Amino acid sequence: MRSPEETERFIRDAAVNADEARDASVLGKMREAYASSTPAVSAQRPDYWGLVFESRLARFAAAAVILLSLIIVVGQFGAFVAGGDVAWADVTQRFQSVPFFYASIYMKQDARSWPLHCELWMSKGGNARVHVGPQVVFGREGQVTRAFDVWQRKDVEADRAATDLIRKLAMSGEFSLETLIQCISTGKLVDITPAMNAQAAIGEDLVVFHAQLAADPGSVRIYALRESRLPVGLRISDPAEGFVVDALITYPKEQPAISFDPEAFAAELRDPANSATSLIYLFLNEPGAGDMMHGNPPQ
Amino acid sequence: MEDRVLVWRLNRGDATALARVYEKYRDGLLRLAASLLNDHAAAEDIVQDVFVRFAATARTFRLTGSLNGYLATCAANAARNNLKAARHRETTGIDEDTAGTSDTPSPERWLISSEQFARVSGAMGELPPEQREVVTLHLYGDMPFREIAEWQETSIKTVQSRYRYGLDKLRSLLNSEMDI
Repeated sequence: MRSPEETERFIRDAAVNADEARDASVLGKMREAYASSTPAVSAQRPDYWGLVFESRLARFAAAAVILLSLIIVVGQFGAFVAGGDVAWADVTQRFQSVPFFYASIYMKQDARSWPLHCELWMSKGGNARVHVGPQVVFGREGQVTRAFDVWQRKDVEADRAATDLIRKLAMSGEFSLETLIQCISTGKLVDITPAMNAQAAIGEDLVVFHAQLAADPGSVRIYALRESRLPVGLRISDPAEGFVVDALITYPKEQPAISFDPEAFAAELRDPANSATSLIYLFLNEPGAGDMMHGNPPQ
Repeated sequence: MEDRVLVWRLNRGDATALARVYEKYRDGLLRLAASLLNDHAAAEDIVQDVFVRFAATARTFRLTGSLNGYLATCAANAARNNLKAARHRETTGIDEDTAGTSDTPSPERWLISSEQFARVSGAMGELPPEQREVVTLHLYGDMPFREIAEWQETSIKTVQSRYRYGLDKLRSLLNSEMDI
């Protein structure tokens, strides 16, 4: 007897295809219907941040995806050139070689708002763990495996923002910031080649990659260490709105396998000795210190 | 996120985004509708209708959840109406040929089913409609149980039970198929 998971996979994998001649006919009808509908939106300055990130959490996760996909996708910005002898491809390749990273991401929707915070742990084997609000969400190879609400102390359906984050990062090969930028400029934007920003880094040990979004004042910056080529900071900002996303990336030694194990997490969830806060960091080690849960000294 | 960009483009009059929406969701919607109805011709009509209606409203469309979920819900609503109409025709004895065109096969076939999908679709037809809806919307529409519960106007626990029972039945029906 096959397992329920295998049955789910069998159903999901059952493919269909479509006849191309009929495709053309349906697309023609769609275009006709679209053309005969009434335009409603005036051509204003594109509020693409508001478009892309509609709800607060979705906005947050989507921004994180943009930031991290930027450095995960090698070669996406072939023309991304930094100062000296450090090329963008060096940075992305170096990043791909690390076995584990942690990202702490802050987002402000406008200049007056307090930042929202999200944490992400990812290991080379395809394991991911996300902390957003009260949820701790586990993922493997782009799929959410289990999600928990540490305040309600139960299994929950993963927040869509966390699901998107896990899914998109695992599928970063098909996610393209270049496409996104071209989309938001409705195809008018062609040249997105970023230039080196020499004024953004006074120290020689830091290189800054900068991409200006021509359709808007928004910009993307990636801070990397010159010698190790490791990206350590990322920023998306739109000065017109005061919208900012900052990510701090760190590279501790790989976390224990149990920290990505949702079953082990579930077993601890109902133990009243674990506070909600300690559950969020359950099984994770603070580099150079003890475990994040109890603050124990390093072994 | 790509969906928000596509909708934004459509809101601003960029018709080229229609092709991407179509290409992205065509197979998923065809699978979903065919599984719900177990009738490929009717499923094709429904999916075409969903796409055309979406295109007609795309300039003013506001995306509040996922586009996939929205389109899947439209297809599921249409499938439900189609099944109701079919039941009505059966009980009133109206001749199918005069009642509508959805059961009439189109000259050319749009949906090309794999052997595996034909088996799954056949097995889905053995499920009670509520279970079939839950399994199909969850696995082919990527809809979370919470959204399915809202759509079926029931509790999330009921939806989860329906999913479990439905999957168990499919598991036993498809067990020998999966060994192949």
